Amino acid sequence: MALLSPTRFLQIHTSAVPRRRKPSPSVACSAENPDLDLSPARSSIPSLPAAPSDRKSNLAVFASATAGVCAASGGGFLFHFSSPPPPSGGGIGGGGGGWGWGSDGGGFWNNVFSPLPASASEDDQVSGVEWDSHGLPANIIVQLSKLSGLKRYKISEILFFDRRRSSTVVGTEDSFFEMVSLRPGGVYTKVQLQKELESLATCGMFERVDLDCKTKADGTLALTVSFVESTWQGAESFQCINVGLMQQSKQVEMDLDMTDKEKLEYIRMQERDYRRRIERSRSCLLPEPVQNEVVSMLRDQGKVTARLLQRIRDRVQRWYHDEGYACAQVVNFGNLNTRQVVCEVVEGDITQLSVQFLDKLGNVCEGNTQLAVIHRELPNQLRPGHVFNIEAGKQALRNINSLSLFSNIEVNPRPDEKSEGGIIVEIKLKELEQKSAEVSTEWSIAPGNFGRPTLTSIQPGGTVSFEHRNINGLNRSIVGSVTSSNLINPQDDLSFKIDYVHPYVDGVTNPRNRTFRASCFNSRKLSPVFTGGPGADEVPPVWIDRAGIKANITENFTRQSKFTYGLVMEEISTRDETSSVCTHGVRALPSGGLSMDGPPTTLSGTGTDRMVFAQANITRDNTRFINGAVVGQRDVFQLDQGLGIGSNYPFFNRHQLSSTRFIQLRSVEEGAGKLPPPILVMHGHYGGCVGDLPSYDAFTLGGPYSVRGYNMGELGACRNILELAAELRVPIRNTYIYSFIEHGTDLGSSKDVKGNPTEFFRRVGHGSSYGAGVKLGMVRAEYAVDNNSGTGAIFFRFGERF
Amino acid sequence: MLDFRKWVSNQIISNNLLSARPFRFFVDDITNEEASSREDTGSTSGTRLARDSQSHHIPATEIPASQHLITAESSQAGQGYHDWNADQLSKVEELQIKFLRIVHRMGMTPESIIVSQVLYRLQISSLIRAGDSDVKRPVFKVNKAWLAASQLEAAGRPDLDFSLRILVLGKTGVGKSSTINSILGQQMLATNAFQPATNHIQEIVGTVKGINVTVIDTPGLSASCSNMHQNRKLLHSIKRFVRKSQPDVVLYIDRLDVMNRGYSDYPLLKLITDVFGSSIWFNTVLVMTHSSSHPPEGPSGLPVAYDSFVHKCTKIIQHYVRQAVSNAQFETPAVLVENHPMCRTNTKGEKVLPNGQVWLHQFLLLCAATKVLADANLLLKFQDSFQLTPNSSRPPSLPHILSSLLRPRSLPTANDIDNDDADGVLDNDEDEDDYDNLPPFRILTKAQFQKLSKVQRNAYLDELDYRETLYLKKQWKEELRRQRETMLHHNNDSTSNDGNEDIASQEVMQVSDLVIPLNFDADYPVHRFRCVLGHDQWTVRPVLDSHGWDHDVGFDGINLEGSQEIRRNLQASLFAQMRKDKEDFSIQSECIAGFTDPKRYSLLTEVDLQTAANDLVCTVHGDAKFRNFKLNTTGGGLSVTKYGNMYFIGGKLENTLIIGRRSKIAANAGQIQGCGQVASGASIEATLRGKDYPIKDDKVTLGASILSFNKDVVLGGSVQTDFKATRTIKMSINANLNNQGLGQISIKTSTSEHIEIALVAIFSLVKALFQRKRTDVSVDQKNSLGY
Repeated sequence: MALLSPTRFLQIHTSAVPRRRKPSPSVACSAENPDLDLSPARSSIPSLPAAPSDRKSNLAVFASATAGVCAASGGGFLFHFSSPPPPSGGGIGGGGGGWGWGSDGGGFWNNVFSPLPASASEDDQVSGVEWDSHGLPANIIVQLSKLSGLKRYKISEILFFDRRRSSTVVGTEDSFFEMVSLRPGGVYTKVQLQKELESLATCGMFERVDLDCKTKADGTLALTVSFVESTWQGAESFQCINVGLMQQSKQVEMDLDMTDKEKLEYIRMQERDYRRRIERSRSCLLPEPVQNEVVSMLRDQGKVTARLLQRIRDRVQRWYHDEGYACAQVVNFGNLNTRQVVCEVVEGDITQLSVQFLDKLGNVCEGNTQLAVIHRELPNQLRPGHVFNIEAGKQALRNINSLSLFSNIEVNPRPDEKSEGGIIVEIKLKELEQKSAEVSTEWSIAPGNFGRPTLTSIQPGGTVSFEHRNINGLNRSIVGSVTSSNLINPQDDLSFKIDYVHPYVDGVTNPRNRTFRASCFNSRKLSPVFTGGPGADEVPPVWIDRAGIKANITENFTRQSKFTYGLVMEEISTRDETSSVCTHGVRALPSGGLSMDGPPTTLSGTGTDRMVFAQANITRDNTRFINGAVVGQRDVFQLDQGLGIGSNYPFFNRHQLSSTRFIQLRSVEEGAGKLPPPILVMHGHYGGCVGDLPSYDAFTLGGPYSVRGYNMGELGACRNILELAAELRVPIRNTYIYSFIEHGTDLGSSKDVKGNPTEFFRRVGHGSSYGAGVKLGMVRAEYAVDNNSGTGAIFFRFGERF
Repeated sequence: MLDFRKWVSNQIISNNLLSARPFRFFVDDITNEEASSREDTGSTSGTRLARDSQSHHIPATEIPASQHLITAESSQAGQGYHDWNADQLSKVEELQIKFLRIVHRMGMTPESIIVSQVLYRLQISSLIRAGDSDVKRPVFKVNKAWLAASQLEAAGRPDLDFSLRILVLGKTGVGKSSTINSILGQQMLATNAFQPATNHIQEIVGTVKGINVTVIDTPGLSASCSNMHQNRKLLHSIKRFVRKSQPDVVLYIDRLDVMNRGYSDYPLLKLITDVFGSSIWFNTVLVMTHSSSHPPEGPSGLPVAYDSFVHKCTKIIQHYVRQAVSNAQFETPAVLVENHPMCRTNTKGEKVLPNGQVWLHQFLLLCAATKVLADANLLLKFQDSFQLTPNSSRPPSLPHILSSLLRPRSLPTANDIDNDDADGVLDNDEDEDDYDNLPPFRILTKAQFQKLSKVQRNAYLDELDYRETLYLKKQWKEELRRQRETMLHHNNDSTSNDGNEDIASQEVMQVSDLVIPLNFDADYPVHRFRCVLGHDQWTVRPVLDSHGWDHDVGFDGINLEGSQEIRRNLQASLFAQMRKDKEDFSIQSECIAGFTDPKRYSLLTEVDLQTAANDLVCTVHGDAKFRNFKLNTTGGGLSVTKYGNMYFIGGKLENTLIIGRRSKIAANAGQIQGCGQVASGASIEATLRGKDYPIKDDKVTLGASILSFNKDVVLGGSVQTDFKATRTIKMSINANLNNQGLGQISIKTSTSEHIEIALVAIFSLVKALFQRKRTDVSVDQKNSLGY
């Protein structure tokens, strides 16, 4: 099997998948397609970082399946497996074409691809390590036929003897080595050896081939394969044709007692047939440069030899496999002994796409998911009529996985029994549980009367969570949770979240991809507006409680570019440390008390605001990864438009535009293990507010995503904001180091925020910083110096700044 | 954090009460070569004590207490110390006389507040030292000294060997140069009311009332926060300037008339503290210029009384200084100054303040007092436990360390199947009916299923369930077998072909986007967390802080996990969670290395690091386990914990007995001690697993534990059970109780079918809504009543 590049392929891809999770044991493809057993390696892709799902997203490995296919195609694509043994003397040497080599070679390639060697190697595994000594004197040459049929011989050495060159080569160096399935150290019976000889003789590589055994002193045999290589007339041109899905040409048995004329007629007919075949065949994907390369190989060689054909085959197949056409295979060479070599390739045309659902036991069952949902995730290249490409398969795998509906996804190419050379792409899916709910309740026990332990309250605290995914099989989902320390009579600590997602608003079959999403939830977060400036004394924190409903529609243009618009209804209440509603920011006084004259926290002044506003975000993002480094452009425009509904009839407009350019400074070759290019990142962010602006919605300056080196909000809170940043990234091994410089300013707009929180908490309103850092996986470790105080600090952050 | 701060301040207070001493000496100040650190702290505590005395707060017991302490300290010092001490005492006496001469010159009497404070303090310290060394000499009397001083002064002897070296700091335009001019009584420096007049550091020498005064004038600091960088530079250059000859007194100058509640120079004070170290404030005198300006109008519309205004302003600055040194009891003396040429003068032509004081005298006296006390400190070499940032810390809770010691440890291996358990299952799996032996079974379509009667449906689902269990079991066994084979395989040839994996693992694949928690913003910054599939063994995850900043995702910390097989049977793993921001740093990490011989024993070493408040808790733990019988495993462990300078040492013994395939009894006992405390505990736990372990994790666990600490004995018991209530409902009940009556019961129900149970949530939500409405109504009512 070593000859098949797909096996090489297999190694790459099985191990390509990192081994973070243990391989899931649930793989059930062997039942239907025994050929797939050739590669039992299964693996899974790792779960996403931080994705809180415990689902084992086990994606079956592609390559295993592919290898299976190729092995299967070895059986399935055979053209002339049952063709008669080759006529003697190079066959129709003078014919100069027609079937030429087709009849001559007979099952040449087919044998190469046939599973026979594989089975042979299985046999030798069965026989185990035990073997019998030949029981003959050392150093005598024994004919194959003289060997005992009962003994199991150990072959300790295999030599190749080219009679034409009269040279002996020890295995592995010669390209013929791979033709022989026998391996030094293996144990074989006479029958196996004879079979091997037969297969060698019929493979077409050799005009003559013999196996001789030489006894050795230690009871083992040294095998010599002496052969005469087949050769044909030199050729000057090369043509590659796709013979996949073509009807097999009928073979007319050549009658042995044909007259010469009849023979000539027969040959002519074959020639004609073949020409027609070439005409009918579709053109190959093989590009011109590779074809030229092959032509130059032909020219250099002069004569067409079996070895040369082998090299051509390798070259052609290598191109296909490098491009991801894993099922492509050179099945035959035709038109030998003419000026032109015709390479027949089965590229692996997809004839059918089938989607199957499996139950937990691996049986095929009905699925809940509508097929259209899956079909729209499949790349075009995977549809019938295209050549199967492993990259498209992987893409499909990824796309389907991103639906997060399935616990196990397999994409298998399988040879089509009905049309030869065709591939059926099978997608097997195991669905996740649709529904789940969990109620966990908790009671505390404390000493009560007479010190006896009693429940502190009969009302339990706890969490209720539920999810219903894939409603109607259309990937709609509703997920929710409620947590409180008292579920029956919830107090302030109630936290809730309900999220409904409705994809394919325009219909599953409509290519427009819009998703409706409605959520109702609350959150309690710290306000960066009410924080102190550098080195200032601690400002009592203000918590912003938000609760409300957000409904929006997201339209995906590409995977990363999208347009979102919707409505938000929220109630905001501001709370102080003791979680009671507060109306103004406070500051500690020298006397130890608190000054109550700080900036108002809400628009209404009561500590609670209600408002309705429209929201939109449009993102144009064409960044991509080049060897792990981001290159491209991203522009984001965001808009919040108050509608004058709510406390104090808030009417406002808040807009932001941010633009980031990742400029590649040097072009690099893309590929695994290659160094990423150095990159210059330029970033600008402008934000502005018009109208009523509550302090909690003011822009804040400073922070890991604003001006690094400062704390969140350390520079101020303002109506207009401008941030500029530049970063230079230099690759080092498989990561990069970077240095940056950033500046942020309030454009003098701090004073327009009610109560001027910037000044009240002694903040500057603008600032710049510089620093350097290193990226370690997803972690940024950086040293940033803020120019306002001139001090630096080390920061660790998850994710990117831009 | 807050707790810790409270705790620190408590610590300081208690510290003071224990050893309130007249002098605060800093060992590190003397050895430290940093600017102005050679001086010590006389002035501050001087005033403080004096204040105490004013408010009749000097408990007489204090002095004996401290004396006792110091006696204990110095009794080891030996005899040679005595002579030296006597010598020092006489020098102190000289100092006292010098000081009194200055007082005399200022026209003041020893009865004035500052003077009496200084004298009192000198006296007490001398007493202490004298008591220490048993020097038999009469402690000099103030009166006597005063007499001597007046005599010397009367004799007109000019050779007062006393010099002052003064460093002047302050913002621009507060009148640093002007102050210097008025002190020296002549126009030595150019001043400008509107522009910074001084642009470099310079030394001016002069004589005031027979005292040699050297003043170091510095350019003004900038008030704006944005110029901190320049300020820092300037301060550093001043620090370099004074490094060689350190000033005796530092003046921090500010204007009295611009003082208000919105005082915003705290960052500046903080910066000075950062650059010079907090000890600078011990030698600092606050100087308020423009002090004859009229006080502003008070809330009543009338000008505030001058004295109360001054008092208030002084308080404000002192408050911020206290904050800058983060010590609540620190107090810097303040003096008022008026430099204006039109300043009122008294009959002698001396400038006086609106309250009639001659400020120059006051000023010089304070400076002299500061210096004298500093010198005395130096002479007497007091060492004090009073420190601004205490580094001694509260001992951690021993029971917690103990429970972490007793916790069973294991290496997080790739396969989460317990090896012990696996053995049993594999050995006797023959008796199990196998999935493959089951009769063929037809999976029904949905339509067919709908047609079934209820009984049939149940039967069908039960059958499916049964088959699934068997199927999973089969797969599990296969998995196990494969693992074993690979293990054997590895044994045979240890050279695994890693080369292949390395090439392959670098394949670039973009991970799908991270799910970001819901928020009300238009922004959805997934792009920050996009990445290419990592190819390292580390798993990095963000830590979500759901109470983070508003308008921020809240991914705040980093969670790092990874494990690696170093050699065969030797594995290491790391788990760490860390956060590093501008100021705060926290880490919690566990690093385990373990050697396992699958047949007989396993050894584990664990290093834990954790931040607690400002300290690092470091634990080293060693653990060994031996399988002495087929089903019995015995182990022991030792651990050392370091917290601050405290060490805790603990040990434990444990035993695990497996009975049959499904039950297990584990017992352990351990003790930990350190800092004179001992905690010991033991626990026993029995587990009974369900029939289908490990496919289904039904189990019952009973546990009991005992813990003794500080003569308290706590007995506790716990029950935990996981089971399947019906085919689709899983329940887990957990209860624990101890003999102090504390405990918890929790019930967890999860289902994949009957999601109706989630309707409980609706009840809570509705209830919450109603409640909110009610409070709203009541608030409205209140409002309407109010107006």
